[in-house]
Order: sequence, then C-alpha cells, then structure tokens
Amino acid sequence: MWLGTDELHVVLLNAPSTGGLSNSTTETCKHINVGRYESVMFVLTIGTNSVTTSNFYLMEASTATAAGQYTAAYNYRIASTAAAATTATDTLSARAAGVSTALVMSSTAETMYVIEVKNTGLTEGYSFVYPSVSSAAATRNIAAVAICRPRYIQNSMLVPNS
Amino acid sequence: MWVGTQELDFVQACSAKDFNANTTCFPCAAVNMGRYESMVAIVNMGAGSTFKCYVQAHSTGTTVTPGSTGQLAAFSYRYSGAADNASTRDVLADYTAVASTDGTTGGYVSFDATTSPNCALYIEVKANEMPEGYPYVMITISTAAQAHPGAVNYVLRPRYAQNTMLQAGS
Repeated sequence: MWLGTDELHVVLLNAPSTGGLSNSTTETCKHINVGRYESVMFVLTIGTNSVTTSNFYLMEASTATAAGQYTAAYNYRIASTAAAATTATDTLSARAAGVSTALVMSSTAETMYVIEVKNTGLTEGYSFVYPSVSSAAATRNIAAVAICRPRYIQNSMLVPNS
Repeated sequence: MWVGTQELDFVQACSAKDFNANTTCFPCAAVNMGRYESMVAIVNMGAGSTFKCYVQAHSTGTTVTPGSTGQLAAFSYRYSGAADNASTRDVLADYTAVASTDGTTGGYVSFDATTSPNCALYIEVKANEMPEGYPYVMITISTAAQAHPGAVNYVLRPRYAQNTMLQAGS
C-alpha cells in the first residue's frame, strides 16, 4: 500500500461525528508539522447536515499545540457538483488561491474541498498547520484527512509504484 | 497540486453522513478499476457500531449490494488510531489480506468502532486482483444496532501515469 508510507504519508485529522459540528461552534483539526513535508493536501468532506455557509481558516502555529494565525498561503479546489451519496464526485474546480481571511464554504451539502499548502508558503517560525471550520448557524458533518508528500522522499523515484 | 491530477485521482465516494442503525449495505460510489493500477479507500468512521466494509466488484458502474451480483473482490487493509490521539492517528496497523469470494459470508472487514471509535480504515484494491469481467469496484458499508457517522474517499493511482517520474513534486 503506497498510502501511509514514506512516499505518501496519511494522517487522520477529524472523524465525522453523529449530528455533525454543532451550531456556532468551531471544529479544529489536529496540527501537522509541514516542515517535514514538501506539501500537504487537506481533504475535507462536508456532509449532509450543512444548511448554511461556514468559514474555513488554514491556521499556522509555532508549536503542535499553540493557537494559530491564518496567514499561511494555500490553494484549494472544490468538487464541482454536490455528490449524491452513491454518485462519485471526481471533478474538481480550477485551482484558486486561498484567502488570508475566511474562505466561505458553500452551503451545498456533500461537497469536497482539497486544500494544498506548501512549506514554502508558511510564515517563518510557524510550521505547524491545521484546518479550522466554524459553523455559522447550523450543523455540519465534517471528515478530514491529510495526505502529505515528504520533503525527502526515500524510494519513490527508484521504485515506481512501490 | 498533485491530488486530482493524472498522478493521483481523488474521488468523493460518500460524503460525511450519519448512517442509520442496522444499515444492511450502503453502497458508496463505483469506479472503473480498468483505468487505475490500484485504489486506496479511506473509510473515515466516527463512533458508533461495529461496522463491516465489503469491496464489491461489478460489471457496470451501478451500485449493488454485496453478493447480489458480481463478486466480492480481494483486498488488503490497514487501520489507524483515533483522530484525536496524537500518538496513533498517523500510525497504521500491519496489512491484513482478505480473499475474494462470490458469496456474502466472507470477503469483508469488520471493525469495532464502539471500543475503538474515530479511527480510519485504509482499504487497498489492486486492478490485477479484480475478478475478470468485473472492473467496477465500490465500497459498501453495513452497520450494527447503533447509528454511525462516516465518510469514504477513494485515492486512485492511474494505470498510465504520464508525468510523475519526470516532474517530481509537480
């Protein structure tokens, strides 16, 4: 399996919870030390409980536990159409640059966000990155994983498809 | 950005939702493995029941219940610790292989999310292990007597990667 190796690292950040993110609360995912990686993809799957928009922040912090600031540069793509539960969504929107203030997430249910941050886009001294989503006025069910490309790949160039 | 490209494709198969208790078999979206070398399904399950995951192979992209038609495909799986456990959320257990079967009595992985909540299963399916004539694959999920939240994404490695060897870090 090539996921979860030194070719591509995978980190479980947020498991969905019954009923989803509560009204007017903030879901904060765990910190990733992007200093160890060339780039990290955060994949946020937004479920069926979303009714109104939410605010997304990509936070960067100085330690694995510190509260962050939202000044990291990032890009994002969005699954272009809402997915019915049994319909695959693999069409992503064009890449767009993230915003330093809140990225307003659509109220559309069953939407996937792919958010990329490169270690070169971080503020010096702030290598720990985590996604944060605040719900405006309704519940949202959120699942999140990070797929990380290590800075120093050990074997993928010599062993393709390893 | 290397997700959603010809290096790695990414599919939202089942968005984060609440599964009802005693869901018999919920089919996630199907993909054509003829186009891919392998697929890793990320089954991100919260707290709830002991759930089962089947890997159903089918001749078309129509979602079906396991064993009703087609075959259950061979796969291997690993699982991580809980998302809220800083020590184990990125630590994967060793591989376990599950054989192909044409019935409904085997060919699945069962995970107890009551005693081990908020973990993720990583299920790998290889195209060369798919039953002949059944190139479409889908994850199906059954839950026990408790409601259960979950989300499923597929990460796919294309069979004919066009640029990864020459453009590392693309």
